Amino acid sequence: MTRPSPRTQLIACLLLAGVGLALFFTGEYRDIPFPAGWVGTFLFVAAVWFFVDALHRIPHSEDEAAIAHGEWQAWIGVAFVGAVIVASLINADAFLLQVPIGQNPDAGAVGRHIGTLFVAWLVLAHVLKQRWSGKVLADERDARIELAASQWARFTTASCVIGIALMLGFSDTDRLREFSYLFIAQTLMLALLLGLWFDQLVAAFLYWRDRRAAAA
Amino acid sequence: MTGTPVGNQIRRLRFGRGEMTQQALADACAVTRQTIIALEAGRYAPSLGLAFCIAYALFVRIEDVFHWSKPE
Repeated sequence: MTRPSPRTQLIACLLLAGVGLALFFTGEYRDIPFPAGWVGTFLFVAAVWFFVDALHRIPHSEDEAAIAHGEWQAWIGVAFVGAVIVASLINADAFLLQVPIGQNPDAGAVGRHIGTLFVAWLVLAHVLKQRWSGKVLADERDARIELAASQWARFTTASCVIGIALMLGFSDTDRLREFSYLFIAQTLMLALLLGLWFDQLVAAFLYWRDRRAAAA
Repeated sequence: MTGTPVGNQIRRLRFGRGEMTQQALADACAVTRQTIIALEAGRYAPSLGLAFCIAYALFVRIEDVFHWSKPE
């Protein structure tokens, strides 16, 4: 039997990663006799690993060369940080219990899942960097795009923190008692994540806009 | 990085130098090929250092590569 081409393997890995992410996000809520969340996490990480391996074996194409290394990294960042934000929002109720995180296994599980996503992101970013080894990865234009993106990210983070401060400031005492320290900590983490996501999104948009205008 | 008033003749000069590729020019100036693409498309104004480097790589004076178009 002939081995599938690297491109077919790449598409298969992307599909597997999608199934893994779907299990990761929804598995805990399904009444099935196995830990779907963990299976989803494993499937996602394994798919990312094989995706990277297949990516290594595909020769550089002209289309790929037209996209800057910074743009690849920005789009991957948008996907992974977006997944972390969705995971945090879906599991927000796990942080409402008035107990420390050590006594809250649900919050611990969410934290481990999010940690896995971050590790997968780091691995993918590192391998992509290896793929571009020997080439210039960033220059003054990338630095200018990063600066513009980070200004938007700072604005987003500041807006979120002001929003949280106003929410806490204008909540009545009974309502405030419902918020656990863990929930407030998680909300602040979400503000940071939104800032990071916006950073990646603006960078990806600026790269894409320049590329599209140059191709026109 | 919107359109810039700094125009250039990089593309014409590249072809004048034996069809020098964008990648070769990028390597000569330690920038990415995408930056050369953005420069040629008028989407990016280079720093003074990069402008001098490009002129040096194309064996011309800086004013032969770059010109400034006063905005209307």
